Amino acid sequence: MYKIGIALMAVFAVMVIPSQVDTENGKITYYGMGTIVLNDAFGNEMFAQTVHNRVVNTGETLIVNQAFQDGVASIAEASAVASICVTEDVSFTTNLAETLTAASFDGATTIITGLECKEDIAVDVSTQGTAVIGALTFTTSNLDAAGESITGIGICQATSLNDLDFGTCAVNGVLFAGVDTTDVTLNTGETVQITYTFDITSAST
Amino acid sequence: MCNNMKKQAQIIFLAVSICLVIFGFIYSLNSETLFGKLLDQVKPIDWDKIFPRNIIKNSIPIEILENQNGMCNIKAENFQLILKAPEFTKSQDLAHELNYDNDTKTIKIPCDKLPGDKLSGEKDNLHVWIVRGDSEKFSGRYQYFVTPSNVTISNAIPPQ
Repeated sequence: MYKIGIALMAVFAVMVIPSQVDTENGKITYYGMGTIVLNDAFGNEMFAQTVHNRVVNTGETLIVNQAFQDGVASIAEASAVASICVTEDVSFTTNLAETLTAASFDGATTIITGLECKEDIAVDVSTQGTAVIGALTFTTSNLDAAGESITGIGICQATSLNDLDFGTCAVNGVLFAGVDTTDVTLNTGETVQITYTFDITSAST
Repeated sequence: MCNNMKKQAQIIFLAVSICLVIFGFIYSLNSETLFGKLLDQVKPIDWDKIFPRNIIKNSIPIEILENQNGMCNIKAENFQLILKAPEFTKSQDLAHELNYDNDTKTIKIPCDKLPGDKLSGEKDNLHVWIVRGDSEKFSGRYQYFVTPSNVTISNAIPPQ
């Protein structure tokens, strides 16, 4: 019986071995999420998805530059982060890394004649610590043709010229973040509504 | 008499050991332990313990085709879009669990998991929430649930 008792003690010891510290509880973390809603030609919802973003290095630098007096001039309001661009990059899942730049994002989109970027002229900041771009509605006119597939999203700066659709992320500045979504195909009459939410709130600060 | 005392001591030691194992099990359920991480793969998902950025939410409209002895045959035209969600490592598990037929675009769900009257022609929303592999809690797990069609991805809450 002592042997059984000792074995049970060993089981107890294994049970209470701590794992690594839970980084979600120990670290203050902001996050961004993209939501896509695919609608048919009659406006009926066919598919919806909410997925996390990756804020790339140029986006992190932008945040720091704008918030702190570091010798880098602040950007004008009309050029702030307010745009959503879509991509048809078939390798976007792999290419969405910390080091992805606006130029690389544009180079891989494969959209030639369509204007793949839309601008939100009034980003919603009514909820403390959050910014919401959209919902912005993309149609087949933002791609080259019906039947093409959106593979991901880029969050970019707005243009100071006007609020119309535009062709590349890099023309206005940097890539702030990317969102890797399920590939959705846009057929004639169908639309994709895209919303981006950036949340910097934290209960412990 | 000595033998009795010895036996008594063994029984007490065994009893204490069993109590410690039970305590260890309960402790692991709610604490960050290696054993707790194993339990995360089998116990019900507590969505409140997962950081929002580690949850991928999906929803599609579905329509009940027929109720066959408590198992509902359902039209799920865009179910493939859920299976192709990023980082959904267990997509084939879900497809198997719901008996997905890619030719007919149908799935099968126990009718008691559906809201409403569960009649043919009724339209609802199928939601699938996925926990990213990077999550400290319930890594890689998923849960599906069905709501009335007026419940969207932004206000859906999985049942407890």
